[in-house]
Amino acid sequence: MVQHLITFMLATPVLGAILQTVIGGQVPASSRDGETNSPSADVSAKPSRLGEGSASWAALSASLASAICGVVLVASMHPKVAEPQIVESLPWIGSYAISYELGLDGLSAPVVILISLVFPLLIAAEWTRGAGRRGIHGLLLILQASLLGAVCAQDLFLLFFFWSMSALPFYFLIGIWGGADRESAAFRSIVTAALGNALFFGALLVVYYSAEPNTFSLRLLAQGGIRGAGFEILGYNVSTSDLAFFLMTSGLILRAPIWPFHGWFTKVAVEAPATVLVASVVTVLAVAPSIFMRLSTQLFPETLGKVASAVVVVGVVNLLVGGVCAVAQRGLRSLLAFVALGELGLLLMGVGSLSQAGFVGAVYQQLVVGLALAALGLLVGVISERTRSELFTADTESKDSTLGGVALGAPGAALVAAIASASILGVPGVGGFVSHALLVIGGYSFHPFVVIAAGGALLLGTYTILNMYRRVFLGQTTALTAAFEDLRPREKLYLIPVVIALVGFGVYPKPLLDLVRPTVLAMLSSFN
Amino acid sequence: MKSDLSPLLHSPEPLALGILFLGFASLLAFFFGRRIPTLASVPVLIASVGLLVLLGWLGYDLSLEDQSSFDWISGWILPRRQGLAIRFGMSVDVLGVSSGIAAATLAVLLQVYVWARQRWTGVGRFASAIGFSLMGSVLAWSGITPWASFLGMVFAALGGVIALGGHWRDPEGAEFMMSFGIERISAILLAVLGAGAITHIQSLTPAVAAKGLGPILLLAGIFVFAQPFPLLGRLTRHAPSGPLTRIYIAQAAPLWVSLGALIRNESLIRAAGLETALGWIGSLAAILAATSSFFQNNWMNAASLWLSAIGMVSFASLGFVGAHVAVPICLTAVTVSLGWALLADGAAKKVDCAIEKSSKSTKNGSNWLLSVALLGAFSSAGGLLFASAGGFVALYAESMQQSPARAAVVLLCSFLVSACGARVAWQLGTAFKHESEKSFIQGRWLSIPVLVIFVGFGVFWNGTLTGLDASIFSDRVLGSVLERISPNGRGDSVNTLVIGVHFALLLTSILIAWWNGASGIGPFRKFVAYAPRLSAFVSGGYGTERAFAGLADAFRFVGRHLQTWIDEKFSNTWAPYVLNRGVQSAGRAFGKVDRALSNLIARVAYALSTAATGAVQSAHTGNLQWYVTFAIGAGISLLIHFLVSQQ
Repeated sequence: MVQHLITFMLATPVLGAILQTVIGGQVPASSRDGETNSPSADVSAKPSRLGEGSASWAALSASLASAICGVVLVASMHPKVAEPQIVESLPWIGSYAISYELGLDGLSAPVVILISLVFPLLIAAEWTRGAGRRGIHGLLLILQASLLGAVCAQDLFLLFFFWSMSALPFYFLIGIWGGADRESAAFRSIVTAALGNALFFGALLVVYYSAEPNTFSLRLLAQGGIRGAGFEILGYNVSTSDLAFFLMTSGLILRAPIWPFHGWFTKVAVEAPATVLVASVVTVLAVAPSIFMRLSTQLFPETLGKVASAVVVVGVVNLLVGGVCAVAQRGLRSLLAFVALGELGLLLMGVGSLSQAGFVGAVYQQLVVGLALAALGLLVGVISERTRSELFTADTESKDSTLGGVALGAPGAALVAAIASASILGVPGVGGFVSHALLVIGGYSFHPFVVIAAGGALLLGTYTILNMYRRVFLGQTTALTAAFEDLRPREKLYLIPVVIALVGFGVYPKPLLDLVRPTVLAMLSSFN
Repeated sequence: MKSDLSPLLHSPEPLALGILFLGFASLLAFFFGRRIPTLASVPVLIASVGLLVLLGWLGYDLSLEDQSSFDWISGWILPRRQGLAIRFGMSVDVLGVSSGIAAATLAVLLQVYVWARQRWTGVGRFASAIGFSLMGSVLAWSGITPWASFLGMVFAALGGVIALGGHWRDPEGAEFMMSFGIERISAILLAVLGAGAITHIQSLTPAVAAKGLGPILLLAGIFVFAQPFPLLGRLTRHAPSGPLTRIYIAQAAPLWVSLGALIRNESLIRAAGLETALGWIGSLAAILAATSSFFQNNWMNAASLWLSAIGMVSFASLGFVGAHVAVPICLTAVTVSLGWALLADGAAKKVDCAIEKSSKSTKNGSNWLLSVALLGAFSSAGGLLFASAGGFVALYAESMQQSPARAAVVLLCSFLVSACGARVAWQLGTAFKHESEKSFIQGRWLSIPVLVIFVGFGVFWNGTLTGLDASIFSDRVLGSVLERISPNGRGDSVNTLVIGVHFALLLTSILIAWWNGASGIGPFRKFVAYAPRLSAFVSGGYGTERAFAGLADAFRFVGRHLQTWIDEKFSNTWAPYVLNRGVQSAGRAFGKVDRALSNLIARVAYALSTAATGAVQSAHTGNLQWYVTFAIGAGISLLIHFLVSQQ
């Protein structure tokens, strides 16, 4: 029964997306407007308020049901077990050895928790959206299902299926509900994602045809399916593993904000709705690195061993560039985007170190920093929705176009922002400290310079984030924030669990680390 | 006689529970402090008193046991026995218990004072700040792993932020609070980096003491947490916070916590050979801070800098000599700072009802305040009978034995610190001269417990008069100065020369302070008038804030241009343009080739079809018909002739 829960976890959001589009009737505009006999009355049907409410509840219920499944699945996992647990396997396209195989292990458990915690909050955050609420709910549900599928898939084709499926909802979410330049942002997002997916598919094909026998099963491929195979191009011997790794990594780089190919992400951060920004952060900070870690250690260990230094260098560059660019930002969204860039760099540092501490830290970083950025992203949404601004520093000294003194009217929001900021900075006692400490320990094993670079970036990040906090929440109010009220009950309902989770994961990380460590040790066994 | 509760007291649970209860009470006070200020502060007071009693009991139990400490370590991040584990450890020993009792005593006194103040809406939040600071102190002094110390530092910083947060609506207050937060968190992160590096090295070779980057970063982080140079700029700024917040919660408490963290990690520092560097850097920082203090016109700024200076003297003495010297100096400084803050806060409060005072009693009021403040300065500089005396005397003695240069620097630091301390006391006494006319009663009655504090640590704590050894107040940490100077007493005998030098320095520094401050004349004021820019430079914290601001602007410049060139030009303009042009060019090229190929095929097909149709068409014209008929006929004739001739 428990293994079927994993399919239920994926299917529920999809079913919910379909259900909420059809639930609740529609009434003719004429009866709503009272002009029953007017020939010029617009007779096109419009959704009733009751129907919209029911649809929203359906969407939230579906998301919550999936989230509860995810939490139950993770809670039912046995610690100290490295192999995927709660596996569900069915043949799908037998002639090509494609199977519907899903499983949960220490690598995917934190990401499943992150998605399970965040996506219901996103649905709830879009509760008061007027036009197109069903559409945005439906797309978020599809996104939730596709990200969960990408993380839990144990078949390479199935993984690609879900991973590529996750690109399309962003196009509509940004293109329809985004800001002034939404079309450009959406187009850039989909083009980059399509190119990335194409490269990833190339890797998939190389792996499939190099394996003996041909298979997409990660388990079989990991047992040595493609190692040693190679071919010749223009007189040069090219290892299949290297080629596939290059294609896969290129594909993932284009879907994650790796400098200097991160322009689409910063554009999306500025133009997308806050909930879509949060979903994007979860995708790039948690799901993409999770796929990279899984495939590179299971399928391409030799190649990863050869390029580990490059991974660390890329991580350090991302970290430093993210920190330096964040200092120069004037808006909250672009600041968050560059903070996410820096945190991803820190994560890559841990992955490239190929050490237990670094890898475990990277996995934990996905969860805690994802939660912290989700909290900040949702707060940014609240603030920009009420004030129509997200600037905290202006070119001129005009106070009317910037935020300030939000804590006066909204102490709850200030407290949430403080805890989320503390987690991003890695203050002891909150979740970010656990991941940062482990990443530093792992990074030092690679080279002491890494620690110096990380230290410099973290100090810069401290200044940036606290400066932002001072300008947005402290001091005197401005014209925009004079009437700013505190978080409403609905907003408290979805922000407080995140804060509690951040503190809980910081104070008592043991249960989750007990799940993560065995899987990480098994993954790194080929490097020892 | 052992206590029946000994097994319980020998476990970490009681102390951990005490700290947790204090934390919970502080959280309650934080969340409900605005709505029910006085009531919200009561749990913090109860928890603080409870912790004080518990620590006293633990100390008593220790004195009865043969064991010198009870240690407890657990794995926090990763299992304890893993090499890379981040461990949380605490110890119940004399050092931790003594320092905890000291911190708890001061915290309780402060809370009683604050609670007794009527109609102050901020009492709840302030109680919360006191609670978190006390948590930080106990954790830092009881923690036996760096990670436990960091947690203590976090709570001390949190207490400071909450206390300073009472004025966050004021832009200056908000800036002050954020600067405090940035400095403290940066220090903690530096220390975490260092501890991480040490953890990695020791996971590989547990028996080898870590050297290199790890201990340096750890030391730097803890050192910076104590607010030394170059972080003096904030101390010279105006801020709306009162003295209790600014001097005690936001500076003295973190200083005490950082000393605790440093002492607990002293073995790591010494193994890396960094103690001498700590001594010299601390001395230099002390000189710079004390010098800047002389140039301050505001007594709170001067007191803040004095506290930084004397804190650095204690750090330097830790590096040059050891904890038995550093602790009394720092503890007395922290105590005096609280006393001054209480006096200043009490003197500044306006009483509701005016009290008619005679000019004589008014003068006695301000003299009383000045006297008590000066007594504090005297005690902090190692006046006789006070705890710091033993520390200073031992510092001079052991420095003189090590090297003349070291002794000279130490003496200079001590002289400057005691002089600026006396000047601060004078400024405090005279700053509230007019205020104290109205609040004379508060000032006097308040001075009594402050006097008790100043004297108590000296008389009772270090056993100077009691000479007790077996009671709970016996002082194995803070040595008695009488023991030191009495050749027949217990403890080490000290060269009379050193004692003489110490008191000569003390008296000289007080005279100079009076000459500078109270007399209205003095070369110092003339120097300020003669070199205003240099004076402004020194009094502003040596321009370090401007340097940091310039550094931030430089990063902002680089970041802006990086974003312009990569995000806007590369990603948003060039790359789309190049890709667009590339795709369009490729499309146009393929289109051209396609058109050319199509045209070629069309021409060839046209030519072939034209030739064929032309041939067929020609066959239908008259002339060709005759030629073709004649050719066919001629051919047939030839064939018949050939066949016939063959036969």
